[in-house]
Formats: sequence, structure tokens, C-alpha cells
Amino acid sequence: MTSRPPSRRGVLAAGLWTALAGVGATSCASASAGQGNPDGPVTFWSALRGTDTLVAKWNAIHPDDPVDYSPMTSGLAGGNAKLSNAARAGNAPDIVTIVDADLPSFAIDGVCADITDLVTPRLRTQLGPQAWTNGKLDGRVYGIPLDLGPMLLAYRTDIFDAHRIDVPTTWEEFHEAARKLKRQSGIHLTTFHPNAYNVLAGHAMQSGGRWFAIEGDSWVVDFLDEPTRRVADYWQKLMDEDLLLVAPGSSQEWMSALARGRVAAHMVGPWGLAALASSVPGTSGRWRVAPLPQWGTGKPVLGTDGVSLHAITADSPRKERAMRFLEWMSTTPEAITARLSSGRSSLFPAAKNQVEAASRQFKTDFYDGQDLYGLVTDQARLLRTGWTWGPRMQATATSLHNGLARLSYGTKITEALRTAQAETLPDMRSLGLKVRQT
Amino acid sequence: MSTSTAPSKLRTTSAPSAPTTTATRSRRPQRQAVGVLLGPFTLLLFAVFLIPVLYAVKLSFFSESHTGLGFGNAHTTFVGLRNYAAVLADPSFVQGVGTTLVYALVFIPLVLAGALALALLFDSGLVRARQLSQTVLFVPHAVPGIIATVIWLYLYTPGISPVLDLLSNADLTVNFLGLRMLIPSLVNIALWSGLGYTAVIFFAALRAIPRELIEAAQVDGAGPVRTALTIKVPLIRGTLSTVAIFTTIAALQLFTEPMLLSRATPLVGPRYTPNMYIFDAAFTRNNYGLASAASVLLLLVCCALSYVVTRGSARTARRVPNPRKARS
Repeated sequence: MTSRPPSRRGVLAAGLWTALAGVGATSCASASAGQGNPDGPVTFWSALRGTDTLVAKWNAIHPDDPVDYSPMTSGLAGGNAKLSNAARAGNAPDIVTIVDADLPSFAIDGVCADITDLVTPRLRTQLGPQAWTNGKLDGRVYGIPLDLGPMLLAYRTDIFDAHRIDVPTTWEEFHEAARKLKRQSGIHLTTFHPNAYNVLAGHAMQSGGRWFAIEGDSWVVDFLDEPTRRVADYWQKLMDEDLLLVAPGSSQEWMSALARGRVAAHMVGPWGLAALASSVPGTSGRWRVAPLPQWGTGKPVLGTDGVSLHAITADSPRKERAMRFLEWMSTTPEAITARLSSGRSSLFPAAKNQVEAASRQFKTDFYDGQDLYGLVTDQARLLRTGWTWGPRMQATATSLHNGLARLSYGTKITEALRTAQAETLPDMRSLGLKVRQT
Repeated sequence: MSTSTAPSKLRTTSAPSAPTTTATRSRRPQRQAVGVLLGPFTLLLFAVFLIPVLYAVKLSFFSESHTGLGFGNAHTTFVGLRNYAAVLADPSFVQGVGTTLVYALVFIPLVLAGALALALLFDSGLVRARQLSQTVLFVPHAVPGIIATVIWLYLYTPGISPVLDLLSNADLTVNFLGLRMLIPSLVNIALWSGLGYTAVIFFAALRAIPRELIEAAQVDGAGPVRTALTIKVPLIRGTLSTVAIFTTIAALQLFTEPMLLSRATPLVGPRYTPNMYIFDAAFTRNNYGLASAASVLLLLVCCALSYVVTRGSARTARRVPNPRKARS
């Protein structure tokens, strides 16, 4: 029984043709922006706080050589994808801020230029080997390091005092302190963030692990080498004994535990100290910062937690001028003063002659007036060199986070690492890279 | 004006004295009709299906390739089956396929059986206010998948969900975003939006069954359940298998719902289903060759499945004598 109105087909046909016409009309409307001429302003994308005041300062003293700054979202939040797309489309900026872990990815994709020959001897000596290890790949420079990120231990002095806990200097003592604190008060000594591959990697760096290594013309991938396994087993044991709060970084659950004093310590690089202070302002004056515990009695060593680099894009026609700006930005006190003038950043500059200017910008009331930049200066000397990130680190990181999210369902840290490695290899192979597993 | 019936009317009314002229005159509107009706389809088929598919096949055999460590020596080359090998060796892709299969095995029987039961109920006349209840069931289908998932996310999230509040008042705690509940939660969203739509299709097919057949069954003493199971269901077998194909293909292409869930829980990773794997490969890993290879594989699986289902249903249709053919 079909009793459709006869005009249905006519209407349908007309509708289809109209839709088709619409598709055709919208498909051919794209303008190419292009890179412009070599004498135009240097373009600069950054997600770093304080870049606006920094660029304003440069433009004030160099009106003839302007820098055009646009803010962008941070890498994992979409910045990386935006940069890749812009580079493919041929309208990437001249300079871009990237996280150290993403450098190999952009270097392999041909987004970042090899700028080894543009680095002046002055810049090279100003920044030092601990910083350059983050900006170099296979001996060539792809990014100018901005800061250093030795991992530190921020802790609640009032909680430590109330339960007679000494600041641990070794991981053995740290374990003991966690046990004692949990037994006496139920407070967790610190938090394990299942969404912070950088912290786990920082611990692996400290213990001598190497997730990615370059040997000859081949990548060597091993997320479960002996040092990393030791780190994974250590944190697994603490978790199994219920000595850690397991909560994602920057989650509501973690913030509220910090604010209520249910967690007594936090491990983070220097940049995170200001972030901590603004997250839990109610606990101001009750925190101090100590060196991160060490593995044994050998020479102390530290891992890096999240530093920034500035890269010049491969297609930029203004590389020399971009480099002039970057050298000013990375080495002069006036630049770091301008960048940190908001007072809400505890970034620790890589250049030695910027440290004093930087230290004057960050008020340490939250940390009981402690001399933080003095402490970090000492700690930065212990930073390990020779760590290499992988060529698809964002994918590796999300894979690792996905595995670590299953910790509360019985997955072990070592299993999450093994899965992340297995999910990283196909990508590298399909890119034609030479890969070996040990 | 019904274009397809016009030529036949012409043919029957035309005089036998001038057969050739009427034939040419009648063929022209027919050709126009074919052009009007098939033109948009053919154009779209080429523009949004065949050409992209061929392009994806081409992309899947090429790759932005590197040598050794890969710094600064990228060039696009023919890489043969390397991308396919990489996809099939990727545990996350294989796991995504597994997840989707589990989802499909739960969802497809539920939606087909549920929709069929609803359609039979409507058809039996047992339901009061049939049009109203059909509309109410159908409305969720009009809600876009993204919006539907956002609504359900709100109901799934502890702390803001009124449903979870009610359950916790009754001392029940259910974590809809926990590891064991992920697939049931996804199936629930898909059922909510798909059940009414599928039921309407089945109902339309049931309405097309000649009433005399059903009356004959009733006269022979068959009750409503027996009529439904032995007369109505076999008669709409064709519709059932068509809907089964569409539902299977839609299930294999699961994307929107888990993509949104991945924002709410880290347990749903960016490569949770094959379609999400493709999206992740293309847009976070910038590996278009890998993404194309995975897309082509997914397309092949969908085509193969459709073929199997069509062949299977054609065979069963041949076994069941078609009553409408028998009548005429």
C-alpha cells in the first residue's frame, strides 16, 4: 500500500541537485597566505606565559626589526596539530615554542630547521651542556633551550614536622617516610599521576634509563631497560602498599587532596613551583622545596621535567633575524625580566646571566621565603645529559597514559611501559626509520 | 508529477498506428528521468566515494619516508605494503578491532531484536496511541550523535548526574565510565538513538505485508504470537538483513561516541576503535600513509561483511517461497 504524494520525487531530485550545487560551491574557496617577503616582521607562535610582554619589550627597543607574536594552545591541547598543519600548508611562523619531548617529531617531519650553523659561540657557551642536550639531536641543533627543569621535591613543612619526618635524601628514606606518614596519619606522602609520562620519564632519566637511543643510523627503543624497570618496580611497590594517592595531574581530586593536606609532597620541575602556589593558595607559607631523593650513595644525578625550546621553521625566509631575536631572548637579563614581569612564573632560565634577574621576579612567600633560585642553580648542575625523546612522543605519551589509567584495574607500570613501546614501533617502522629493540 | 509512471501511461494509451514516433517521444522523458534521478547519485558516488577511495588506496602505498634516523631527509616514496604491515602489527589497532567486535556482538542483536519486538507490538495493534509512541521512540534518532553522547556523559558522570545521585540514595554505586562498563555504556547510547529508527523501518515493512495473509492465518487459528513469528517475521526477512548490514557497518565505524567518552575518561584512549585509530594516525601522528592503509583495511572488511550478509540472506530468501510472487 503506497500512497505517496506524486511530487515527492520531483522535490527529492531538486533537493539533491541543490545539495550538490552547495558542495561544489564551497569546495573551491581557499586562499593561500604564504610566507611573505624576507623583510617582513618575524612571526612567532608560543603557548608560554609572558611571551606578550617579552615581545613588547623587543619591539620597543628594535622598532626597525619587529616581531609579530600570536598565542597558541599548548602542544597536547592542539598546538602540535596546529603547527603541523600550518607547516604542511606553508604558512608556519618563523619561530615556535615547543616542548623538549616534541622536538624529534618536528625535526623528522621537517618542521624545525637544522640551525646548528646559526648558533653563535657566545650563545653556545651561555647555555651550557645541560641545556643543549634538550635542543640537540644526533649532534645537530634543532631548538634553542629556554630553561632547565631539574626535578625537585616540594613538601609541606607543617605535616613533616607534626609527624617527625625528616626530608628524605634517598629513595629508600622516601619509602620509609611514606610508610611512617601513612601509618601515623593516613596522609599520602605524594601523588602518582597516571597522566604524567614526563614525571615517570624524569625518574627514568635520573636512574640512568634510556627509552630512545641513537646508535649509528638506527633508533634503539627500550622502555624496560634495567634502570627504568627499577623505577617502575619502586613506584609499583609504593602503590601496592597504598602509600600514594593515585590521581591525574591537575585533576579536581588531586587539587582538593592538596588543599585539605591529604598529600604532603609534590615532585615537579622549577616551572611547577609557581603553578603549585597558584593552585593551592590556602596553604601558603607551609611549603618548602628540597632536592629530589637519590638512588644510592653514588654521584647525585637528576632528571628533567618539561622544558621549552624555540625552533626556527624550515621554510622560514627570515632565519638570521629570527636567530638574532632568539639569542637576545635566551641570554639577556632584560628579556627574562620582561618575560617574567607578571610575577606568576617560576621558570628557571638556561642562561647563567639570566638567573639573577629571573630570581627577582618570583616572590617566594608561598615557600616560606626560601631562596629557590639558589637551590635550583645547585640542582641544575646535577642534570643528566644524553637523554633522547622518541620521534612520535605525543603518540607514545598518550599510549602510556592509556596504560597507566588502568593501574587501578590491576595493570602494572611495567605492563603499561611494554604496551606503549609496542604501540610506538609500528609508527616508526611505517615512517621508514631504522628501529632496533634490545 | 510521478515521472516514472508517465511513460507507461503513454505506452498504454498510444494508438498502434504510429508506434515508432511514440516510442521515441516516450523514451526522451524516460532518459531525462534517468538523468535527473541517477545524475546526483553518480556524481556524488564519484566525488565523495570512488575518487576518495582511490586516493586513499594510492596514499596507503606511499609514505613520507625517511632513512636511518630520519632527520631532515623526508621524501615521499612508494613503500609497497609497508603501511599495511605496520597497521596489522600495531597492537592498538588489533585491540581496537577486538573492542569494536565485542561492541557489535552486543549491540547488533540487541537493536535488531528490540526493534523487531517493538515493530511487532505496533503492528499487532496492542499499543495505544501508536503514532505518539512511535514519534517518541523516533525522536532520539533526530538528535545528532555528538549531542546524544554529551547528554549521556552528563548522566554518566559522578557528582553531576541526577541518575547516579538517585542510585546512590538507594545505596547503589555504578561507575558507568569504569573499565567493565565502557562497552555497556556505549551500547546504551547507541540503543537509545537507534532503536526507534530501526523499529520504524521494520514497522513499515510489516505494514506492507498483505493483510489477507494475516487474516488467513487468524482464520486457521494462529494466535498473535504465532502469527508474528511464523508469518510476519519470515516475510520481512529481506528488510531484516538489509538493516543488519547497515547496523553492522555503522557499528564497525564506531567513532563519535567513544571519541567524546575519551575526553571524560582516560580509559578510552585515542585509538579505542579502528576509526579513532585512523583519526589519530592522520591528525596526531601525521602519518597519512598509515591512516590510509587502516582506512582501506576497514573498507575491505565492511565490503566483505556486506557481501557475506547479502549472499546469506539471498540464499535464505530463495528457500522461503515469496507469497507475493505466488499470488501474481
